[in-house]
Amino acid sequence: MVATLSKIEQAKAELCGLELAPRLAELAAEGWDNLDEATLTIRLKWLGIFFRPVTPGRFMVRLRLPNGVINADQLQVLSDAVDRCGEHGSADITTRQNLQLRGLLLEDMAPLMAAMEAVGLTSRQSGHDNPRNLTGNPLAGIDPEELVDTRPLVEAIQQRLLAADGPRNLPRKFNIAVGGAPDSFLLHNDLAFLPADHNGVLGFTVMVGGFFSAQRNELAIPLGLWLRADQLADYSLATLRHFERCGNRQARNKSRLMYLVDELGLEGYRQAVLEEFSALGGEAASHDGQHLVNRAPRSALGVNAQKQEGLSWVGLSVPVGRLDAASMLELARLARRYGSGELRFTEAQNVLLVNVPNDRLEALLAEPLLQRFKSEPGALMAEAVSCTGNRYCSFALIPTKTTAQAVVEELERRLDLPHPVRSHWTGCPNACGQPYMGEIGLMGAKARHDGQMVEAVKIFLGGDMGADPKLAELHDKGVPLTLLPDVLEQLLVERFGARPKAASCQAG
Amino acid sequence: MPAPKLRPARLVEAVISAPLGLSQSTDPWQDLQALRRGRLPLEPVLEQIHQGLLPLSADVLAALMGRLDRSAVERLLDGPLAGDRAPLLQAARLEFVALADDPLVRQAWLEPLLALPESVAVLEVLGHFQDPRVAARLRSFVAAINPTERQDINLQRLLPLLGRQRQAEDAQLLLALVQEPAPQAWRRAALEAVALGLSAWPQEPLASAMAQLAADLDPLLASDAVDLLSRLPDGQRHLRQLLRCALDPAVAERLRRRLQRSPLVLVVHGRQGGVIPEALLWLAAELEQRRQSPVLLQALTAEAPAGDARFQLAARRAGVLTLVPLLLLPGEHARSDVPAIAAQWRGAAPGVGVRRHAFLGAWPAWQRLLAGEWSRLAAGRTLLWLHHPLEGGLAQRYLSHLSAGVGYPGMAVSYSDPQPRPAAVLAPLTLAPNRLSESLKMERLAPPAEVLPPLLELPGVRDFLLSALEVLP
Repeated sequence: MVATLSKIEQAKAELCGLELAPRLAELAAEGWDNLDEATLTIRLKWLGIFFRPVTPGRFMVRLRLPNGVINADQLQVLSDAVDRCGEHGSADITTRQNLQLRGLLLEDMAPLMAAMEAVGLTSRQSGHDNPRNLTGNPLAGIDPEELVDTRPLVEAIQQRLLAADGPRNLPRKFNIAVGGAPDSFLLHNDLAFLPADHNGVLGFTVMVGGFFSAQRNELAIPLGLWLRADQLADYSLATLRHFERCGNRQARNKSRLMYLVDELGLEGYRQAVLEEFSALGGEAASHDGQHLVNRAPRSALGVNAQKQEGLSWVGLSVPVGRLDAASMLELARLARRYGSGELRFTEAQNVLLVNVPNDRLEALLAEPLLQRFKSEPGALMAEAVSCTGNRYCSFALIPTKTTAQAVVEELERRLDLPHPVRSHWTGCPNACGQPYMGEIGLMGAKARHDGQMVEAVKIFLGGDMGADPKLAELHDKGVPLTLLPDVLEQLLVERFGARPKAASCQAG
Repeated sequence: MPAPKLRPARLVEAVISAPLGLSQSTDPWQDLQALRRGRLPLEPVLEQIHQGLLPLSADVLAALMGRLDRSAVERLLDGPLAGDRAPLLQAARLEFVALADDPLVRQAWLEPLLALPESVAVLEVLGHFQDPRVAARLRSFVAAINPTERQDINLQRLLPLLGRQRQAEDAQLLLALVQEPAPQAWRRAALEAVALGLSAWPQEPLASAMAQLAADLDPLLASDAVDLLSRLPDGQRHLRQLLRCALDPAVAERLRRRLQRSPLVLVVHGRQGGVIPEALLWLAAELEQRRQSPVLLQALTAEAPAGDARFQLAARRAGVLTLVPLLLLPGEHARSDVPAIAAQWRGAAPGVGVRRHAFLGAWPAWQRLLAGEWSRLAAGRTLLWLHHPLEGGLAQRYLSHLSAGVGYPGMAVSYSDPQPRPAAVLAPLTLAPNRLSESLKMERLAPPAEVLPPLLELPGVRDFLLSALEVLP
């Protein structure tokens, strides 16, 4: 009964945000202050448009970039949108291989949506209770170690889910990913398809229920089903239809898929989804859940030979994933000039230029942008992942990105590390920066220091995305930001083999 | 020697509230979240605050703001918040941006806040509510701010709040504040106010002020003004007017990026089967780069192209596409085919106009170019330009006119068998290689006789076409 629904569920039931698409120009003319709260803070997210309480009047647009693939023309259109926002404009590469643009006025939305459509981009259903950007192997199609090219699979799932009969009113957000290489760690997704053999045929085993939140953190578990590649799209739709019908709409903090699995039991959930899948004409084989993902993700940075002879990809480190208009335009130019015009975004918030003929590598590596976005960054910067932080997010307790960059730069000045260390920074317990996946995880907090409460971080250690995946565990519940470089320096020396720079020099 | 341990400058210690101790949780954040979301009862917390057992910090107030009714608000404003408005201001900055539109929050807070004695802090808190009374207070306060106080960041914060009120009558004040000499931060705050209420302001004074600001000595303000102009309904017209102004190089570059050139359709003859010569493909690609807008080649010998999604978008955004017949003679193609092509485009793109230019041969600048190029290349020798046979009085008048203009005679020849009259220099009148130019190329003429290449192979002709077509709107 509508009257018993929460405010969010009521807003969703009354009007699907997708219906606002043709009215964007009209809404802009009315002014964002005149929009009702549900439209402003909920429904617009169905179009990928986010009201940001921290920057009222300056909106964010989150795209959909299946498998993190984008081309130079597309990036140029987005660069233009950011450029129009002057000093307010920026873009962030996200942990879902996606891009979100910041600083936009509501007046920008109608022309931006049209411009994106013209170059084959969409921001549809990228926020709130929707299937979020679909991730895959960032090296799909070029990876010498590839098991399966995930691009067509991810694209097929997206097309199926965004079709007219796709889900529009899920109880909560939903993350889906497809693995294609031995390092495709994807267990933080609600639904992950990991490459697996079945009777000598390469397909996918189904993993369900992974998520991070303020209340609970889980890695996905095997559902005991195996699918052929051509079944993933329909199976995803069946999963979402079931979730849409049966998921918890009463308590949003208990509505992610794992809670439904808990409620029905793994066997009960499997049967229910199989019935839904069967209604779409699908049939899945039983499977023991063994898969071919057996090590932590590669950084993919630097110059790497593709499986195509004579071609390479060049991975560039984008410090904490933040781009501006000029760097976006320059990346587009480099992709056109040196590669095939295609770029990829990684879950570690970095960018790859692909299909670069080997005889152009030297010239590419000499480009000025690579002084900023290094192909061979320091061992900490290479794998520093960060959420947005309190510059743009009202949940964040600390300025995550600037803190992460400042601390990492400082530590790299102090220390030499024998290997990259993956650090995940997040501003609040909602864990958008995935702190539990980091070898070092850092979460915004408040702590007492010198008699006062100050901005701080909790430190988590031990996250492992290898063959025996493990979530990081709490190590310190409150380190003031001002003490953080010293505390992390000690940790890196004691646990990760780091050596003070001067000592290294002497030893050398 | 170990590297000095520097404290990163950005890690400024931020002081926040004391812990709550409202539950068993040792994490104050968890307490605040529970309080905000209604998982902790309100009354005991309020009682602790009023008894002085729980300091009313900004964090605590922020967690309470959405849960209070009017009497609770009045009691807090008269009690713990009466002496120190700082927690109120900090909490409002955190919460009211999102909460102020909630009818219950508005009902609880607006009237009690309006009843408070006016101060900068109270005005900033009030400014989150869109209300004519709030707008009036902000307006009169901002208008009365002494120019010597404009450095004050707290006063600067009021400007965007006035912009967000979106009252058309405030345009005059805000636009004046943007333009008056004042500290940069003050003027930028005023411009952000203009940006946040953009669609509420009267268009002409807004456009006029932004156009003036585009020439401001502060390139940041000037650049933002260009960006705002581009968002106005008639923004492209205003931007084009700026082309005549002397702008800072960075602003001029920004203007170039904001100008939306219409997509071009270049009508060319083409070769058998619709093949388009390389020279024309190069021209179109180069133009597309320079104009940052799609350029389509339409060959008369092929099916009409439709234009891809990018072309259609550019046409819709510009409201028009530009048709340029790169034809050199007023033959049947220029007289009949081009009007038909224009009509076809008009029908194919609803809401998109077609701006049609005369065929290239009719452009006086083109005729002057030919005269100059041929004179230079002939270098005192006789020159004969060769063209496709034409029929009709108009065509004959054109040929006579061109001969007179370039100072050299022309001659109609069969493309497959030119057999030209002897002349020292033969100039095929064609942009790109065609049967005529290729037949002539096969001729073995004895020096000093010479056959000139197709016109697009002449650097002067290429430069002329690129420049002339690049600047078309």
